[in-house]
This record gives sequence, C-alpha cells and structure tokens, in this order.
Amino acid sequence: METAVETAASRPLALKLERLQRSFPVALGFRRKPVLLGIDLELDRGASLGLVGPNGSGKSTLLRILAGVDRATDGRALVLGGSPLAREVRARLAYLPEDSPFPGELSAVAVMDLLGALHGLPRKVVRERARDLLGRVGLAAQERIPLRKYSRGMLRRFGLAQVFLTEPELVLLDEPTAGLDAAGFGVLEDLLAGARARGATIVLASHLLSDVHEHCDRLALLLDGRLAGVGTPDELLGTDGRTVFEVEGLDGDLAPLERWIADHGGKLLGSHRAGRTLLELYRAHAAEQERPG
Amino acid sequence: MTARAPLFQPLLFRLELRRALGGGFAPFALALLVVLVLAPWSTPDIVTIEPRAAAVARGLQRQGIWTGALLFLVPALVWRAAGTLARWRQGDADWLGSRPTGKLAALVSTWAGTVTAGALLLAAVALFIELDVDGDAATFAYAGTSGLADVRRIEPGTARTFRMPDPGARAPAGSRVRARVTVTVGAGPTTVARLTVRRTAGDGGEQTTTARVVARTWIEVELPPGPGALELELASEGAGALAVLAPDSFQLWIPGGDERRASLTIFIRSALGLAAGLALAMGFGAWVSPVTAGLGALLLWPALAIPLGAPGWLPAARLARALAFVGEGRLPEALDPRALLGLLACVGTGLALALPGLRSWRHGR
Repeated sequence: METAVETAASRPLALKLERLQRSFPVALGFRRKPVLLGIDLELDRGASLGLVGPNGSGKSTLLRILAGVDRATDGRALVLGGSPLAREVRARLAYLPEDSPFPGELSAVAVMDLLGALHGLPRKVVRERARDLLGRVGLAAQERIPLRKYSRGMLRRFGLAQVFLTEPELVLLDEPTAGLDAAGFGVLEDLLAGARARGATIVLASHLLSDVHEHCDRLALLLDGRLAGVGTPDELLGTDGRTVFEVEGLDGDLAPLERWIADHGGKLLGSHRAGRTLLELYRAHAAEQERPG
Repeated sequence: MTARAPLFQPLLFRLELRRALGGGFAPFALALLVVLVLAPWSTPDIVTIEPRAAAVARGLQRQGIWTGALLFLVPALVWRAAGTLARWRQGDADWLGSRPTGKLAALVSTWAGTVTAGALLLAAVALFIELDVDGDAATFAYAGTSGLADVRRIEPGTARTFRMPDPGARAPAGSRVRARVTVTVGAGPTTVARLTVRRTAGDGGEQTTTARVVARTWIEVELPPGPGALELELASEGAGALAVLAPDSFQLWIPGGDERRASLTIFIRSALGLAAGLALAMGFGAWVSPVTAGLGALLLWPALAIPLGAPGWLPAARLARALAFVGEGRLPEALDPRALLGLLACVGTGLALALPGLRSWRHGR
C-alpha cells in the first residue's frame, strides 16, 4: 500500500536545519571547540518543540543561531523560510535569552519602546501592547522602575512580556522558567496558549523535562552537540507502562485500590499525600483578595 | 516587501548617550572640572611681567583647564567606545542582535550617542572656563606660518633677511609678524635681536623692534601698511649669536576679536577629534581587546595630528599648538573646513572596520 508522504517542499516549515554546526575558537584560535555537530531538524509551522539536554549540550547556542544572534560555522539553517540573519526573518521572530540581559538603566516601558522601535513598530502600538503584556505578567505596578532594580523572577517575567510584544510567528525561549515563581509558570502558560492560538511556532529550551513536557508537542534531545532523538514526548520518553493519577476527594485507606491494581497486573510504585500546588495557592489567595468586602 | 531599515535608531542613540554619561561618569567629570577651575594655572606675579600679562594669565587658565579636561575625558570616552562591541558580545547582542535593525544602524546610533555625550561634556568645559575666566578682550588670531627648513645662525653684529609672501587681505591693519629665535650654544648667554619688517612693493615704511634674547622666545612687530611681500631683517646686535628656529620660524597674526573664541575653537577641534577617535576605537575594538583598541586609537592622535606638518584635514590636527596659542592669550586659526571631510573619512574607516567584526553578534558561548 502506498502512503501519501508530505514533502518538505509542500509543507510549511518553521525550521529546517541541515548539518548545522557551530564551533568556537579556543587556545588563542589555534583550535576550535565544537558545540553543535551537524544538527538536522525540521519543524512545522504552528508546532511546539522542546529542546532538552543537560547543561552545555548546545541548546542556547542553537537558539542563538535560530534568532540570528550567532552564525553557524557550517551547515544551513532556514527559519520561517529564510536565513535567520535576514532582517525580514528576524522581524518575524522573538527570542528570550537565558540571562535577561536587557538594559538595566531603563524602565520596562522604556525597554519595550526601544525594542518596538528596533522592530519599526509605531510608538502607540508599542505602548498599547506593552501595557497589556506588562499587566499580564504582573509588572504593571513596576513598569516605570529601572530593570536593574527588578528581582530575577521579575526580569524573567519582563523577558517573557517582551517576547510577545511583536506578535511573532516564531517564539524562541531559552530556559523560560528559570527564576520564575509558581505564579510566573501560570503567566508563561497563558502567554504560550495565546501564541499557539495565533498559530505561532514555539521552540523552548530547558534542562527541565517538566517544562517541555507540559508545553511542547515535540521534543528534541541534544546531547554533546548532537541531536540524540526527536519525536513526540511519548515517542521520545516512552511510557514504560507507567500511569500517573492525580486524585482528589480520597481520604481513606488506599489498600483496596492497591489490590485492584495488583489484580489487573499492575504494581503501585508509590503514592503520597499532596496539598495544593503553589500556583493553586496563589490563585486562591488572589481570588480571596479580589472578593468584595 | 519590508521597508528599508533606518540608518539611525533614536532610542538606541539615547540609550548610549545615557550609558556614556551614567555610572557616575558625568558627575565625576563635572567635579573634576570644578577642581580644574579652582586650580591656579598662572602665578599672580605674571601680571607684573609684561603689559599683556592679564590676557596671558587668562590664556593660561583656559589652556590649563582645557588640557586637564581633555586628558581625562578623551581617554575615558575612547576606552568606552573601544569596548562597545565587547559589551554587545557579552550581553546586549542577545536582545539587540535578534532584532530586525541593521548592524550599521546599531553602530551609527551608538557612536552618535557616545559622541554626543562627549560633546556635551566638552561644551560644559567651555562654559565653565568662560564663566571662570570672564575675559572678553580683543586679541590676535593666528593666520599662518612661513617656515625655514633649517635653523639659521646669525653671528654677532650681522643681519639676515628673510621673505614672506604678501599676506594680502588676510592681514588687515594692525596685523603682526613674529620670529622665533634663541641664543646659540657657545656664543654667549644673551644677545639683543632686532627685527625690521618692510614691504617689497610701495612705500609703506618699515617697523622695527628689539628684544633681549636669553632663551627661546618670540620677537614680534606690527606689519607696515601697504601691499607687497614682506621682507624681514633679523640682526644680532649683542655679544652672542642668534638663531632663527625652524620650522615655524615666522608667524602672521591678525586682529582676531573676542578672546572667548579660544574656547569655541578648542571645543570644535576637540569634538571633531573625539568623534573621529571614537569611531576608530569602535572599529579597532571589533578586532582586538578594548584595552588594545583604546590605546591604539589614542596613540594615533599624537602620531598623526600633533606634528606641525600634520595635514589640516585631520580632525584635531594641531590641537596641541592651538592650546599653546590659547595659553598665550591668543586665538588659534579657524578650523580647516576639510577637517569635516577628514572626520567623515575616519568615521567611515571606523565603521568599515567594525562591520565585518560584527559578522556574528556573538563570538563565544
């Protein structure tokens, strides 16, 4: 039986990487240290890709190349159909760097103005979007404070807000949850949901599996600069026959449940009593604060 | 189709202006300026030495403050510019490099921000100086040199004649000429020099002055009226021999107006030189470390622009001589308009060096 195969030429791709390599000079330039060793990858537009791998595996370098900040030593990167070094391509993507290195002497609003101007957006549009985004990330009250006075978590929230200022077609996030508190995780979820609804492609790098597992429909595993595997979370991680239940309303003896599992050939590996998550706690607290009287 | 990228980003310019003046640099520079203004740059007894002494004292005050301020501000700003690309590579590149703005626009806007910061500080220097000195007397302005190739010796009791081309309309009534002389080794510690100036055409008479020469000095006389080239006769009338120094042997000075123009001309020369130096430092900084790039840009100036024969189109050419004139209570010559072309050439060179260095915004992990 013949299967219809969608070719890359007909499929709208957000990313197409061919034997992408990056190395950096070391030992006064006499030697080069390879960081990316021939990455081949394709990603459809509108998809969400999680780049996972340990520290130093090349995730940040790959994101910088995709963002046009760095240049591949060899191979080819097509981003939204063009070179990431092309101005037209960079106008359609947004990047959250790992260290939030935004100008600390400027306020959040001023940095938004600056970034909007670099994208050629009208000031009025920038101000409207900035106000909305800074409100959504919980920085409305601090929008006039210089960024150098922000905590790490606030800087991270600001970093997330600036990513969505230009309503990008491609969102590149490097360790977006680093430094975020539980409420910040909720903000990230909301912003990513909004971007997905617009049809944006998302590439998210993290060394935390939980980050990418929740937000991505595909995973790419980078190990020592090589792509060790690509697939859906289930394909890549495998289910290994495990199932996780989160149950509420049960307060009694779990022995019958354990027997039921054993009767069906399973084995209960463990259970523990769980309280509300921090995010749930924050939301409940916020709801109480908002309640009249 | 995307619109053409602008070559200038006003908000990037403002950011760099703010950064260049920030970090306590502007308050520190102003505090230093106050110290320079309060420092005595001439001794009180200078007033008794010669009739023009008050103007010379004001000139020394201007010269001292300008020199001190330039020695602090220029290296600090050049170093800052030399580190621009290094700073981008270490952090700013991550938010700047991923934007659709052009690299040239980022460079031009950043350079302009640093230059404006420097120009503001130099303007503050000029303002402080003129508020401090508070002198607006008329003085002479430099109008050109007629130089000898070598030192000429004039034996005791003899005279030598030199010629200067007709200064024409450049030298209105009241203009002066001066010769740079000294006593020579092995011919007595002092001598008396007599300078006589006459016109080769017409009958404008002649002007003569004498001066006792104990070291390097200028002997100066007013030009006789009328047209024609100038004939300068220098005689050694004392016991020692005289020497006419090269290469700026004879200088023409014209009535130049208000002495406060001295600060204006130094400001313009310094600002042009600074603008050129900052561009070159940025360019060098794309290829070598900020320290090396800054030193390179700073050392180019004495190498290229200080010698008397330095081409006038070089920004800040002959700035040291201009400061020396200011120290005499006089005005340097007007800026050579070609210096603007020289500035463009330096800025173009700096940007041309910086752009390929920015081929990739990041050079390391």
